[in-house]
Order: sequence, then C-alpha cells, then structure tokens
Amino acid sequence: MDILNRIRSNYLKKKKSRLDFAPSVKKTPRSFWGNVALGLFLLLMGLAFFFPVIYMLSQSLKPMNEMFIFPPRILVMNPTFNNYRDFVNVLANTVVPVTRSLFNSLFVVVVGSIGHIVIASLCAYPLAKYKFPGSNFFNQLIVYSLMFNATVTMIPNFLTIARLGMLDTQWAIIIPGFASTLGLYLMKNFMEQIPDSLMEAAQIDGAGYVRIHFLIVMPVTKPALVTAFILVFQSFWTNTGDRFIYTEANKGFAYVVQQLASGKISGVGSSYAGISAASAIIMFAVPLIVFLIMQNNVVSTMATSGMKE
Amino acid sequence: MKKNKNKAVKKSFSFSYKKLDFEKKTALWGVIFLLPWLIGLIFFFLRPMVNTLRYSLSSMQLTDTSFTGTFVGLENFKYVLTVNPDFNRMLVEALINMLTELPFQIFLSLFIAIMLNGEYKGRGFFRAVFVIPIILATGIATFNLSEASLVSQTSESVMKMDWLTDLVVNSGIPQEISSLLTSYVENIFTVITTCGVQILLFLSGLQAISPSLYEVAQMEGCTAFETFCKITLPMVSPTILVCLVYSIAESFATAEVTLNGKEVVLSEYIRSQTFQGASQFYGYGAAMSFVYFAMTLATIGIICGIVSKGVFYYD
Repeated sequence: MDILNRIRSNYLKKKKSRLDFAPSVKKTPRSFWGNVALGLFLLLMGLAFFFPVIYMLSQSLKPMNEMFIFPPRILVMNPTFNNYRDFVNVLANTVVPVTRSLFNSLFVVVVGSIGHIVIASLCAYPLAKYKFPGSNFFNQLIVYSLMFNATVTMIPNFLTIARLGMLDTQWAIIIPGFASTLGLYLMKNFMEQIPDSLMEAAQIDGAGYVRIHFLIVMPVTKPALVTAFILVFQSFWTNTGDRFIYTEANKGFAYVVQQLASGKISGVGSSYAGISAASAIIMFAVPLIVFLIMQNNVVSTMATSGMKE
Repeated sequence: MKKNKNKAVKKSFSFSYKKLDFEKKTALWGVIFLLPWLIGLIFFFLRPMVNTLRYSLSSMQLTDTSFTGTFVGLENFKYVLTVNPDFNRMLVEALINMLTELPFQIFLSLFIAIMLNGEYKGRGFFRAVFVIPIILATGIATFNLSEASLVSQTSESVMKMDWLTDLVVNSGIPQEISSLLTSYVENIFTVITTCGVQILLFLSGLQAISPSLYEVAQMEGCTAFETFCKITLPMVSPTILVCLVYSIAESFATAEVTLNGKEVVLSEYIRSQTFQGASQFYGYGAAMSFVYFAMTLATIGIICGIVSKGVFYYD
C-alpha cells in the first residue's frame, strides 16, 4: 500500500509539472485510482479475449493423461512436445506429400491476398476521393455487401465457378475472395483522410491517376492496407476449399490439418486429441507471425504520420 | 440517365481522350479503377442473388447435363414457412439471440476501441492482445476445429461463471432483466470473440476525427465527458451504423439455434436441407436462404432506420 501511495504521489507530481505552462483550462483530470481501474478493466478484458489462446497452448503441451482431467487445468504438470512430434510424424506419412498441400496454400494465400489488396485499393481510391456519376450508389453498395452471406448465394456461386471452368483449381478460392468488402471499407475510410493537396501536388508535377495511386495513395494508406491484408490472409489461409476442390492433391494445408484434427486420417488412433490441439496452434501460428511482422502498422493513426491537414 | 452519361464518356474516349474536360477524365478513371471489383461483385454477389431468387420460385430439376427449373410461384416459400416444422422457430430464435447480444457488442467494442485509441504506455501491447483474437476467431469460425467447441465450453467452466449467474438471479431484479443478464454472462466468450472486427472499424472511425476538434473543445473548457458526448460520439456515429450492419449480418450468418435439443448453426442447417439428394430440395433450400436473407435485410433496415435518425455527418 505504501509503495502504491508513493507511485501515486510521483504520478501526480509529474502530471502537475507537465501542466505548468499549459493554459489554465477547466479540466477534471482523471484521478490516479481512475486510471488504475481503467487499466485493470483493460487487463481483464484482454485476459478474457486472450484466454482461448492460452488454453489452446496449454492443451497442446499436455501429455495424454492430463488432457482429459475434469475440470480442465490451465497449468501443465509435465509439459511435453509429444503432440507436436506426433503431428509432424503423421504429416510425413500422408498420401499426398505435405509439401504439395503447403505449396497449394502458399499459392492461394500469396496470389489471393495481394490481388485482393490491389483490386480493393484501386476501387477504394476513387470512391473516397472523387465524385463521379454513381459514386454515392457505389458507396452504399459497399455497406450493403458487408452483409454478403455465403449461404444465400451458395448454389449460384457454385454454378458460376463451374461455368468459368475453375472447379477443382485454386482459382475457385482466389477469384471469389477478390470481391470481399470488409477490407475495401477499411481502406476507403482511411483514404478519405488523405489531404487533397497531396494528390494535387502530384498532379501538378505531372503524375497520372495510376501513378498517383501506386506511388502516393498506397504508401500513405499502408496501415489500412496492412489491416486488410491480415484479415484477408487469415481467410485464405484457413480456407479448406470444401465443395470447390475435389482432388486431394489440389487441396490446401488447412484441409490436411482439418482432416487430422477431426481424426479422419488413418493410423492416428486415439492420440488425435493431442494432435488436434497441436495442429490448432500451428494453424494459428502462421497468421500470428504475419501479424507480428506487420504489427506496427495495424490501424495506426494518421495524426502520427504527420499527414493530417 | 446515369448509364447514358457513362456511355457518352466512353464514346468520346475512343475519339479523343485529350479533348475531355477534367471532370470527365476523373469520372472515367474512377470507373476504370472500380471496374475489377465491380465485375467481381456482379458475378459473385448480385448475379447469384438474382439466381437464388429465381430458383426459389421454381421447382428445380437436376439431370446429368442440365439444371433447369419450372416456375411454381410461391410453392417453395409455402413449404418452408408452413410445412417445415423447425424453420420458423429457428428464425425467431436467431432473431432474439441477435437482439440481446447486439447492444452489448456495440457498447463493448466502442469502449475498447476508445481505450485502445488513447495515448498511454503499453498501448501496443494491448492492441496486440485485442487484435490477435480476431485472427483466432475468424480462423476458427471457418476452420471449425473440433477443438474450438471444446475451448468455449471449458473456458466457461474454468472461469466459473456460476457465482456471477447466482448473484444476478438472487439480486431481486425483475426476472426478464435478470434472464437477459445471465444470458450475457453465459455467452460472454461468444460475444467477446465476435467483437474483433467491430473494434477495428471503430478504431478506424475514431482516428478519422480531426485532432483540432479536440483542441477547440479543450480551449473552450470542456470536461472529458462533455468532449466525449459532443465530439467523439457524433463523429463516430456513422461508424456505429456500419458496425450495426456488420454485427447484425454476422450474427445471422453464424447464428446458432437449437434443433432437437442440439445446437446447430442455422446456415449449416440450410445447407444440409439443400443437399439432401432429391432435386426438389434445391428449390426449398433457395427459398430458405432467401427468407433468411430477407429477414437479415429487414432487421438491418428497421434498426438502421431508427439509428440513422441520430447519425451526424460532418461534411
């Protein structure tokens, strides 16, 4: 308690000194305990958000005999990497070599995500910055297609893909992914904040619209692009390609892992509970790594990048 | 009228691009930039929509080479809404679930977004903590690991929410309200994991607010609470509308309802009904998904119609 009080008095002293030269404004500064309460609340919420991840991790480290204890524990008594070892062992012996499915996933993820980002940002730029006949209508269309529900358009979508001759190829996953809207909406919101003068300057220097888009708009809106990239990366990475891809050799890594996790690959036996926990962590780890690499950019402020007018 | 204008633009394009005035050039490039996404939208959203409506009005026949339908009017809808014993009830259940979760979701995500938008030490850490579950949640929603259900069940039993439920039940609040509160407590993990995208949307909305507005408020001597009511809330209100649309659509798309005492995802139920084998089920399935979509649309229309009265647009 004494320590807390000392921290508190330090905190107040600092705050006062910072305000020395500030104009005297009527301000009700949030009290120290208020800040502590808010911090605690955030921490609690964060814990609740994060709990499933922690639980998954602990489950994947448990040996077989601890896995089925009820009520389940978070702490692992004898952590082992056996589940991960089994996971790798099983993957090494699948009918279709696992490198093949990894390659399929890589192809879908890379082509799909980059394609989506380019197409959606191309679309977001004029919608955010220029008025032209129909731009209001398109803006509303974006909001409406946020309710794009895959169930409703299931059968016709299948037929469209079939008629385009894309069934059983990776394009069946990639091409429809281009038309998703969430990332587009984020980008459009962000692009509306770019000062017009920036683009006018480019125009005066002789840049055309295409060049403005790729050399000015896209670099400036990097935070939104990165956020959209993470969302779309995730959706491609976990796509199992059900009902569009039939040949085992054309399926992605997510499909193999799903089969594993539900115990459908022979030769796994009863150890599949552990393997499925391990596979959940591995499936989760890849987007996590992408996120951590790009983390600095996720919806960071325009104000901090000095672009605000 | 609009179409004609576009055509005129394109025609003159083929003659001489250089003679166009600035506005028309802008419009032309706008359309060119939009085109790839628009084609995608037409092929994978609008056209399928229309086709689904067409299937739902006809009796479909699937043969080796063709997939054709004969027009039967509203027969399919009649079957779905009056003969099928479960569908009506499941729709209502999904609606009620959505309505109870919606306000909580919006408030929670707005609150968290505001907290994450503030300037303090460790903001990066908290952002990571709140954004990572988005990755997880979207992953599991599509991935459907057997582990996923295990996680949500056990996280509830581990966190021991029983005492909280007891507290609510015994506190003497009227039963309607207390049952609402207990449903929040019981669904806390589901609600939390569906908040992720809304938090992102709110964050992007909050950051679009110009800092000079806050400076003005400070000069005028607003308290923090006044600043929130007079600046943050009105400026973020268009985003609230979008979040409402997204939450409602998402909550319907992933709605879980009880069927014969088991929890099933409503859209999975529609899928299983559609692909039962005999081709008349295609018509039923299309009708079901159309009713489902129409209900989503109607709910969004009503709720957003009410809310949009209070929305403030800055321009």
